[in-house]
Amino acid sequence: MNHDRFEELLGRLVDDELTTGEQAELIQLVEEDPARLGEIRNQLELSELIALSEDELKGSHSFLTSLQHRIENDPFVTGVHTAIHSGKPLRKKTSVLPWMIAMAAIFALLVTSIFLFQ
Amino acid sequence: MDSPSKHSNQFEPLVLEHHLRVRAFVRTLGVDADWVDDIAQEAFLKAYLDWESYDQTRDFGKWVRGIAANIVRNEIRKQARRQRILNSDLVKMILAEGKGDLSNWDHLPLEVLKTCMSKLNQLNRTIVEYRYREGLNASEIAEQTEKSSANIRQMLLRIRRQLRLCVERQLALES
Repeated sequence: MNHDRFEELLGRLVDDELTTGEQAELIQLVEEDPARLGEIRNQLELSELIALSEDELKGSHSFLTSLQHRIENDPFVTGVHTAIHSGKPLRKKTSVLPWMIAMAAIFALLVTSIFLFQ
Repeated sequence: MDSPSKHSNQFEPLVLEHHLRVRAFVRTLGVDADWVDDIAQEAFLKAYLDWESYDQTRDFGKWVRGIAANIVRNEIRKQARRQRILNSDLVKMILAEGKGDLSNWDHLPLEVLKTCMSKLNQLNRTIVEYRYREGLNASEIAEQTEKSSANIRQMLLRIRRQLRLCVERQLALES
């Protein structure tokens, strides 16, 4: 009975269709028999491999193109490129807000002291 | 020390060589199928950025898979991003199992798998095509084949087991 239920839940897991309750049930079945974890891994692995071999769109070229796009748009990488091309070292961006607060405080002190000494 | 822009020529062949295995590995960790490529790409991106710490005498694929496992571990900690993994408790169990690698296959047996798939009977072949080529779910395949969705899931489990056995036998013969 447990075996049949495990099979049913495993099939739903691989299809990404497990409900929250079924997930808890599957975990309980794995705890009862840890060898089931190996079967879960095997099924997920084979499912991905079949998907990769069947779906041309998931092939090498597409993956590499997406990765290249992601690398080119990564803030760190673009920062490095900018630094290399401009010849300036990378610097951490500093916020102007603390400087503005400090300037305002100095100004307030000056105004107060002028009024006090008049 | 190389900057990322300087090692891009070295990096691309490594991505081509290892991405299939990294993607399959990410899936075995319990990552939702729709997010596998996203996490695999994130792992390669981190590898690219962290290139200076990579010991080039070591296995690159294993290094990237380690990075991918860490990304998945971090996913569990980030409540808001949990949708990328199937179930955090289950993923914890998989990670705790400690194997941390893809089966015992040295090389991804994609060509062997294709050969094994060509040996499937017509009905099984059709179900695989519906599921993986056309992206139909079990209920949709059930409608096409006049079977129940539970029956289709059961058939897919058996087909995957059959294919795994076939791949293992082929690899054993080759070695």
